[in-house]
Amino acid sequence: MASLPQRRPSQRRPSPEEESRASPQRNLDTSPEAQSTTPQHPQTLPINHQTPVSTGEERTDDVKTPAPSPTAPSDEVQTCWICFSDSTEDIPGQTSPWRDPCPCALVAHEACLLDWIADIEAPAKNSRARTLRAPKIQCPQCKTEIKLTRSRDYLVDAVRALERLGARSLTPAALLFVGGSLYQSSLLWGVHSIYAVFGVEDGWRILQPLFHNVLRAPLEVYAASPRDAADKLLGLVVDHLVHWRLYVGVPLITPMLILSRTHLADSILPVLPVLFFATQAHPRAEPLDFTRWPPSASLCFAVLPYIRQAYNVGYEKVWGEHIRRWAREVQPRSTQTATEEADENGVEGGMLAEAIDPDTDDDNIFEVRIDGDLWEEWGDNEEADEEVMEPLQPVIQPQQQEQAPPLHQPPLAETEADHAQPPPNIPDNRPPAAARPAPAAAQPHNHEHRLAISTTALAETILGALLFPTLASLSGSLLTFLLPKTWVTSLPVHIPSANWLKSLKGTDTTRVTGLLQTKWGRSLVGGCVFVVVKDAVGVYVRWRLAGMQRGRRVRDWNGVGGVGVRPSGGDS
Amino acid sequence: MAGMSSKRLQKELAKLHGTLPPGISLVSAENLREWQMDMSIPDNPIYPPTETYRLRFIFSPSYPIEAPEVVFVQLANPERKIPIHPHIYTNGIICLDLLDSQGWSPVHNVESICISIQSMLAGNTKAERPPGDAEFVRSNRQRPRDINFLYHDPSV
Repeated sequence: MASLPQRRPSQRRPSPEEESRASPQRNLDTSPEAQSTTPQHPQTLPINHQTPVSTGEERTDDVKTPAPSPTAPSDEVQTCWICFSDSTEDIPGQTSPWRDPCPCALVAHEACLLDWIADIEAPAKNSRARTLRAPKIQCPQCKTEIKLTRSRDYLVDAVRALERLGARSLTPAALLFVGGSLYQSSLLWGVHSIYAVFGVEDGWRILQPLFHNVLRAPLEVYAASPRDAADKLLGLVVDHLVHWRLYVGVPLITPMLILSRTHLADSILPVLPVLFFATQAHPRAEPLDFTRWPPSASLCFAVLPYIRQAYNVGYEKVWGEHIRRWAREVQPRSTQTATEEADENGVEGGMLAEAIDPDTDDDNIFEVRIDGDLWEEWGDNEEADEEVMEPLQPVIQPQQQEQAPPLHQPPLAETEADHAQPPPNIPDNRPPAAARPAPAAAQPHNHEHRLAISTTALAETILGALLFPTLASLSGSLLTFLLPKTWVTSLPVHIPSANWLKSLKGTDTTRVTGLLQTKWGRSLVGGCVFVVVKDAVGVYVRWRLAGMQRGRRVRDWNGVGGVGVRPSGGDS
Repeated sequence: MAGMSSKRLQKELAKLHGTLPPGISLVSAENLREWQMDMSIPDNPIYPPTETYRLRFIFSPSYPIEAPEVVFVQLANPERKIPIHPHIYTNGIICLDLLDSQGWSPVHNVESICISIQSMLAGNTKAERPPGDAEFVRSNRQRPRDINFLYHDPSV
């Protein structure tokens, strides 16, 4: 009957969740009425259809809360904005109820809405839209948030939030892990280097504060007793603060070793000693004493960059051109013209080129850098980097005066241990890469070829750099055997003499130690000697190679047999 | 819910057979998977009125929850070219937020997509291709819906 109010499913807002499942039944319940009263055309609604309430607040109700007032289009055909079918096509037993979750005029089937919401919350397609919180569901037109009623399970929410947090923190954690590994391995290698250069006792003295922390138990072990944990944490923090130079400086040794072998840090290295001098702490308020011999360890290491630079320049001036000429001679002539052009263009061998030759083109500089390793094969680089000073000095504050007599004033009183922090620098001298014959070097021109060579040369450079402290130490030990005992031991032998050489031995002064009598001094000198000897040998080898190259002749075949045998007595 | 997609597409098709905005016409809609529309741009000298452009719509079974794939196609006969626009690559792929899962919602339909594309072209002042167009065309293997576009140019 037309007089009966049209009982539309949308007017009945049943309570939560099971509603969609129950809705077919409800539809069924109302169906007889609906079928009997539902006119084909919405316009012929019964008289007492409920007037739409025009206030907006009702419509912001949750989708599922029962609302006393009906929705606006209760008397018109509703079109689901998702599936586009309208209420005229409702199959009472199957169509899910209509929902109007937001103030705008969009209405939709509940099933369609749930489908759409499910796609928003868990996008199947991409993992790109991953935020910390669940994405908000907004009406596409009015942007009002669409609220759902679902059972809140706090555990599920918490777990999902944790999952999202975990996904977001993956990258930072990975970076932290990689960084930490690098730091630890640098630290370890720095320790090795310090021991190599300074020997057992000095090395231990320098590194002692470090060892305690390297091997301590991690804090979570103390979780059982919070007081212990707090104590340990405090101790750790204080220790790091006090000995920060150790924690910063020792791991820096490794990268500095490697960098010194290239020209990358050339601009920084000469500056570092200045920095070092500037930040020097003078425990006794004495000015730096340049006139004292033997110089303190920190002074020695601080000066090394300058020595290195000077040596580079000297080497290049004396031998540079010769070496390039010899290198050219061992290369096939067809590429020699290319080499000559390269030289004309300013691409010169050796990293010194950059320092000495100001007209090198910019792009050439880049090439030279990349192939710095390449040129190392030619030996030009090696001496350049031998004497790079580990710029740890500004970082670690040495106790200069106390350094002098370390050997026979065994362990400086622990009260001074903090001040007696190591004259840190490990000479960054790098062990020269095995002297490869020049012909192995690729043409400086061929870009791709050059880069390919560089990677292996790079590995060799790095390994060589890392091994240098050991080699320097070994050379120092060799010196111990080769030089007269009086030079290298610390026994006080007093021989009055004005000879400056004797001052090297420290035997003519009242001081009982000389440069060579300290382990680090021997390492330093040993490293330098090693570099010089290696360079000398390299120069000699190149010279001989070039000479031998010139004297080559191809021999004729004089024997019998072989494929394509010529009649014997063939022409010569 | 393939049922939902076919029902909705049937309705849209019915509407498309009716009146359409000027410049947009339906070319072919033989099945409920791929449709083709023709579009011409009024009032923009970059796109002369004699030139028509062909759009291809490909619907998935989860349409309208999932956006359709819309690309320009180039044909020889009849002649259809790819319009020049900073957000349209030479292989026909359109960089439009509406077509991406982020910007798509079921409230849009084929007609509204056409209108959006038409207005995007009509309001364009730069007759250029997107940066990196050649590289993209050469190396792209993904379907348009899998490509992560960065929608950062609000001026076009």
